[in-house]
Amino acid sequence: MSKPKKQPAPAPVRTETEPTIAAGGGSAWPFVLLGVLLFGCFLHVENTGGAFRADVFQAGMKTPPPQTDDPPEVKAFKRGAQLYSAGCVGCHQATGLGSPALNFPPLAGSDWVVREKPDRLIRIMLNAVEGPIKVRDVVYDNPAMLAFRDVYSDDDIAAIATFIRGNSAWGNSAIPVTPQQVKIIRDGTAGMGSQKWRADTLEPIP
Amino acid sequence: MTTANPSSQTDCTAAPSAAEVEASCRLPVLFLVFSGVAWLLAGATLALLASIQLYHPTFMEGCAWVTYGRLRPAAVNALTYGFALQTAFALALWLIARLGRVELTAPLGLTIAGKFWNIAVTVGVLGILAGDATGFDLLEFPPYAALPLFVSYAFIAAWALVTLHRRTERELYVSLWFVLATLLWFPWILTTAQSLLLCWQVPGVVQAIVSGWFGNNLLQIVLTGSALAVLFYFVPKTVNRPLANPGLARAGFWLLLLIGGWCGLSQLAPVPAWIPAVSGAANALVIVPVLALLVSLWQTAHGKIGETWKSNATFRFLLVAAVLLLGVTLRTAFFSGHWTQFTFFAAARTDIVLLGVFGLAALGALHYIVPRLTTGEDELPSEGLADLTFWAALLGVLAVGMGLSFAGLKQAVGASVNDNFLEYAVTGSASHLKQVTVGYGALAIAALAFLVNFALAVRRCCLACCGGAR
Amino acid sequence: MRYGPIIGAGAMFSLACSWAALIMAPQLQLGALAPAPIPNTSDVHPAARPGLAAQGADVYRSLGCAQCHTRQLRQDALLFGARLNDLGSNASTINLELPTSGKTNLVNLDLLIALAKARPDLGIQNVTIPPALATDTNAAAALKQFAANLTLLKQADNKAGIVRPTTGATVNEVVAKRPADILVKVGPDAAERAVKLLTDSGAKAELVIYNLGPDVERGWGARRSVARDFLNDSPVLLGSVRIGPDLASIGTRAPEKFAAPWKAATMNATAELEHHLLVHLYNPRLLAPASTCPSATYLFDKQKSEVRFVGEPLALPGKDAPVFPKHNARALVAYLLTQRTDISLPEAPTPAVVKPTSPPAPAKP
Repeated sequence: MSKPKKQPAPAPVRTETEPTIAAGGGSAWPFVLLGVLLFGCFLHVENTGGAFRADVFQAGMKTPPPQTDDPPEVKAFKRGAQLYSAGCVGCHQATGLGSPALNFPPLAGSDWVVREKPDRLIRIMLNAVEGPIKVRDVVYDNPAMLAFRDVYSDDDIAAIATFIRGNSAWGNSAIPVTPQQVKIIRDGTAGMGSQKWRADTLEPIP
Repeated sequence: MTTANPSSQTDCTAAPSAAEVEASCRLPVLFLVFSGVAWLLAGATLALLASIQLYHPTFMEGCAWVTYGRLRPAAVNALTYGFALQTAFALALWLIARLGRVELTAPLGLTIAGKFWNIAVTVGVLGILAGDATGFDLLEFPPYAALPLFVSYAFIAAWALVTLHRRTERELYVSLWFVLATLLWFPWILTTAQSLLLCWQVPGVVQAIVSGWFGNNLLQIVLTGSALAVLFYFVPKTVNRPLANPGLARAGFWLLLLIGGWCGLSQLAPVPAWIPAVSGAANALVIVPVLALLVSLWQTAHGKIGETWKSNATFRFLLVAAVLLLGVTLRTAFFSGHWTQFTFFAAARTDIVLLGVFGLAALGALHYIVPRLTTGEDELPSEGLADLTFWAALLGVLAVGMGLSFAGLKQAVGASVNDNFLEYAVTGSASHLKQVTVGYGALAIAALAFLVNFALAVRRCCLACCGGAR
Repeated sequence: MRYGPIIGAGAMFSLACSWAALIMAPQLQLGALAPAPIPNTSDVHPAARPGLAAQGADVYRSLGCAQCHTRQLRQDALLFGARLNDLGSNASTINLELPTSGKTNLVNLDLLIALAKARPDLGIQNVTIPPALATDTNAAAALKQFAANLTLLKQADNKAGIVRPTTGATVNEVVAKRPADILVKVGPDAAERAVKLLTDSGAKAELVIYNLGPDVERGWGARRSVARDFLNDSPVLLGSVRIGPDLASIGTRAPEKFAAPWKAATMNATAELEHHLLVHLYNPRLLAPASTCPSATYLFDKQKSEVRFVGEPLALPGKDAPVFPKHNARALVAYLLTQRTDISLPEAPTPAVVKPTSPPAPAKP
């Protein structure tokens, strides 16, 4: 390898050739191998890729739908709060105190709402009430209440009733209402049509 | 494009002689080579100091500038940008000039751009040591270093492409495919990554995905591609045969480009499961192009390997680099899953590709290029130093690669048995990490030996010139 | 090949493919992630970091902590279980004790059937009614229904080829002690089915989550890290090598789960953890002699600095004089204290450790 030390030629006259390419060539085996490996890769991605979902971080890790730890009555309460703020809050206000000046009776602390059995409340919500009605020692007479029979389902009415009866922020603490209770009363009063209740017609109901 | 440099406007159709080509290469290529190998010395030294801290934490304690968390990224980035990419530019310029039979466009401009590149790398390394690292693997240079880096690269690449455009030998040899692809690939991935990480910061883990994608492309395409360009040029040349089976080379080239960019994200944990799955699949698929390319080379050299090993300094480097390329590809394909996640084993890929595959191939090429550009001889002045460079580099790469790999395997086994963390992950791998220190030391010695050899060659060249003038 | 532009175009196409798949697609999937509300609180996860912790993130980046510490927890599997908490009450819940005996032995007969369906490996005993209660019409009706259900169950067993053991545990015994883990570490479908069977029978049952894997078992966190955990990070420093312990949940890690375990001496766990981390920064080998973490003494002053408020001095274990943490040390620790993976997310649930307090719920009657 060592060379005798001679002076370098200023313009080296090497007959160096650049690498050339042999004729012919080309093989199929890379593509066969590629096919075989591709098959394996598809299996691999199929098994561990989580179906390309953004929320699957673990191969084969199926997460169940989120479990809320809320018992059904708490769920109903929360849903009732939403429905209340959509449909009821205009008259009865977020405070549940109604508006005595505008003749809207309160729900907070009202015996019509928080009495032990919700039967009167459900009837009022289904068919509305008109005529003079005494709430917390004040007589209101407002024909504006709407009947919600055709607006809300049994679940909705039960949820709203659960909310307004149990809303501790208003000082109410009555037991929840179930959709079954609503259904029984809805079926039982189906013949009333659009007729509204009056305070005196509700009195006999427990 | 033709107005770039008046000096080479003389006659585009007539092919310049080999001497003219070499004369135009001399200044920029030698400058880039010298500073590249100097960065190898600096980077290996930094990495050596960092690796000591892994088992000897009180070493250089109490100074924020040289704490492991700064020293290690400084070393890796110095090796990547200072040594690997800079040497890759030198090789690309030389290959374009030689294979295209064309004089380099703007040799002086290239040298100046190379100087700015070196300034930017220096600023970047100091910035990392000062605590301005961005924190993304292989992209740690602070923005004030990254921007000049990119600008000087743009000049180098533009002149290289102009040179390629003016080539008199129209047929593109295999090496030039790789050179062209890597010259284009690097600015694309760099601008993509920097713009997504520094300009419009993508939210959350997408940042980690972007930096992983960049790092993999840099290793798998840019540096491996540069190494392959060298292999495809020098293997047929040193064994003195035409390249056998160019069809394989063509298939391997395109498949490597298509598949290589998909690897590298297989060990991210907090990303949707499909990303590591797809990336792991690509890690396996990339075996095909690598195998095709290496088989093509093997068929070329078949039967003359032993003979050329003995007679040719360059070929020894190339053979080891090719074996390491196969090894690192198989290793990544089979062991890149969950098992080796977060261990030195996975981290060792950067070192093996950077120093082993690219580093050895480049050093081999330099043992051919540098003597021709300086003394005009076939060998560097000192054969002993050339041998020292080879064996020290080989020892260094093997010690670093195997030390990190075995330390990583120990960690991987320990992590799965849920043992005392400090014992299995930290103190248990100290003996292997000491090998790593030895390895970086050997690499520094290899770089030093090459630089001395380089200086001897330049000295002899200067003496000859001056002597001739008198 | 003669034409460079072909190679350039091909390279661009190849790169565009990998870019579209590995960068654009994840960005489309994850770019719109938002912090998740923590159930029953007004907080979200990940919480925005207060000022000091945000500065600490910068110290974390600057010192290169991510070179040795990952912040990504792994998990091998997510498995499920079913747990029975309460018998519940319905028409088929009968009290087999005499009202005068003062004891309670409530039996939910539907639950026995449901549990037998969920656990084919358990035997089932018949339920007999004490003679003194035979006159109770409700109990008699419930028992009659139970006998009918039992017959149906046996037919179903025969059809499915299930042979129930005659010895060993029976559903009656399993139900007797509560909470009872009915199914442990099974797939989501089996666990969900069991929970549904049990709740349908009137009992109170819950789905239990088991996050499995060395990281979780080592106590490094309650669940794997997911993309959502890093929404407030920039740069996102995940780390790639574990030369030191993972830090994804260092802010909520129990003292005995540290690489060098310690014990909380007082009730103020956060303050103690802060102190512990500061001591670790000053000199890790004061806490764990084998630690190879470099000490960051440059983040501390030996003497009280006069130019700024430095807070309390840091008392060191051993005989060393107290030192004064600089602002950066406090910031880094504040940042570390915000690292947590104990929040349950839809994509990565955690086992319910603490039952959430009930919302402004309807008061009990």
